Amino acid sequence: KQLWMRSHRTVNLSKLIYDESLTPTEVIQKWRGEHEPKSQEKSKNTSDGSDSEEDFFKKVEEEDGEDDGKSFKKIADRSLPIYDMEKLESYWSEESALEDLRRRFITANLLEEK
Amino acid sequence: MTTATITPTAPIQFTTHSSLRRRLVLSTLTGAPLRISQIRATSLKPGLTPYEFSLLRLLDSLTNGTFIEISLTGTTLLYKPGLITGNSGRPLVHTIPENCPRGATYFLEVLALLAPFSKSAFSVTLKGGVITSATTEDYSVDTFRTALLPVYASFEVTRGIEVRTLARSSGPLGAGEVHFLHGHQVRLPRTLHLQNPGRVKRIRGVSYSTGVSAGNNARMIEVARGVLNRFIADVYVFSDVSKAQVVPADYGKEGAVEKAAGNMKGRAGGKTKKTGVGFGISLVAETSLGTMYAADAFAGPAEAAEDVGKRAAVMLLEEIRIGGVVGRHGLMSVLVMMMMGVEGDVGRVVLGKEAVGEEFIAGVRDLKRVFGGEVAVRDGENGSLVVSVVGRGVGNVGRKVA
Repeated sequence: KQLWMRSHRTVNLSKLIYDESLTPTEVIQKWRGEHEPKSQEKSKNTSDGSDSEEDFFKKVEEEDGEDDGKSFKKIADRSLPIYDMEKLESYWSEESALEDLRRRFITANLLEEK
Repeated sequence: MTTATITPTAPIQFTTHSSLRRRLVLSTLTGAPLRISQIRATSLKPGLTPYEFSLLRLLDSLTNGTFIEISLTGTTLLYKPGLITGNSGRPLVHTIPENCPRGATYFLEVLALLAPFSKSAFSVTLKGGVITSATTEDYSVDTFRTALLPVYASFEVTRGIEVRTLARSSGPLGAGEVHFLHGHQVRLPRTLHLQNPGRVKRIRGVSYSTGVSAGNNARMIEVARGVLNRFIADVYVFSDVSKAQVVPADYGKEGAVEKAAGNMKGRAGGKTKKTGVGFGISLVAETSLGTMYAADAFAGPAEAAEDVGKRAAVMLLEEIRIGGVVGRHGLMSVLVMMMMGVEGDVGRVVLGKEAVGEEFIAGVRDLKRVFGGEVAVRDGENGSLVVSVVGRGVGNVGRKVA
């Protein structure tokens, strides 16, 4: 399981952090190499175009979504991280994952490592 | 004529309600005025929420000379912070709105960050709609006490700090009581160099149930231990059982307090109901070098105690896997404390890669806006990140000597 792609090094991150043209969400997506949601790409493309009326309606819709707290909630003063419980449960039910974590505990046998 | 102290500085402009609390805290610590506009401007309920007002009131009562101006609609806020004076000698009772959806830690985190830079000690009792359990956004008071306060201990802020849970209460309508005592002020926090998180040596926790059977605690603990015991035998979870709080029948309804007009006993014709019923668990893993990882789970509607315990244990494993020298719960506190540190001194913390999320990016951007300092990030050993923060030497304005 390779979570971090090669092309996304930390050098990238330190450049991205203070790039004010990107929202924090976009920074993280770029850095992790995740694909942006299609609606975002679409709206970016159309915003350059001249089809302004359709674009206008779309934007309001997005803002409404933010107000309901769907996309905005994430950076709204939370102190608990958000977990994807389904993913976690399935990940931590695997024996290999649990064994991987063992070296983070003092009960790990250091002599057998490597 | 103009000296540095009376030169009016232009307020820093922010928009929307996101990270409002953090921005207010940063502003109070540095003395930089803020103007926040477009607070829920397009929402059906525009402007600040009751708990945000409550936070402003709390900040006002702990400082001297704070100026707050809120527009008629509540969508624009001008905040000029005063000196953090604390309230030594006069214990402060702060009443949170009855229908506050946020946990008590929403306020406690602010207090913990301001108290070291106060002129005198803090003694604040939170009353009213206090939720001591975890909510969907805030961790429980137990996690605050056992996992966040040790984060400050690494900055040598340790003396005279106490968090007493006088009355427990769960959400969504809390009626608990928490006493926060903080008597350790510093001039400048020391520079932190944490490179190695160590290995987990013990796991502690608190399971709490209010107004429900104590058997829930036992069931949560058993399942959590079942997951965690394979790694380490030293797992001990305390069990705390308390009664539900009895409150007037119209508790938490909008306008009910105003209607009662001070006559709290005769509210709702003397009718009462129970509130704050529920159960949850807080788990904290401590490493050999003092790093804390924390997880919190609270029972959802009709959720079985076994599931809650399992959820908490799995979340704790995830936190341990993400790693870093500071758990995700204390990340922002650490960054702010490092920024407050000795001017020019570089502090370093090692974080797990996945600990860096949107919250982190938004946080360091706010730090840059308020403190004017950037953080540097580089790759560390086996998939970690090293975050270096240069101290800005803000420190404690109210104290000349520590």
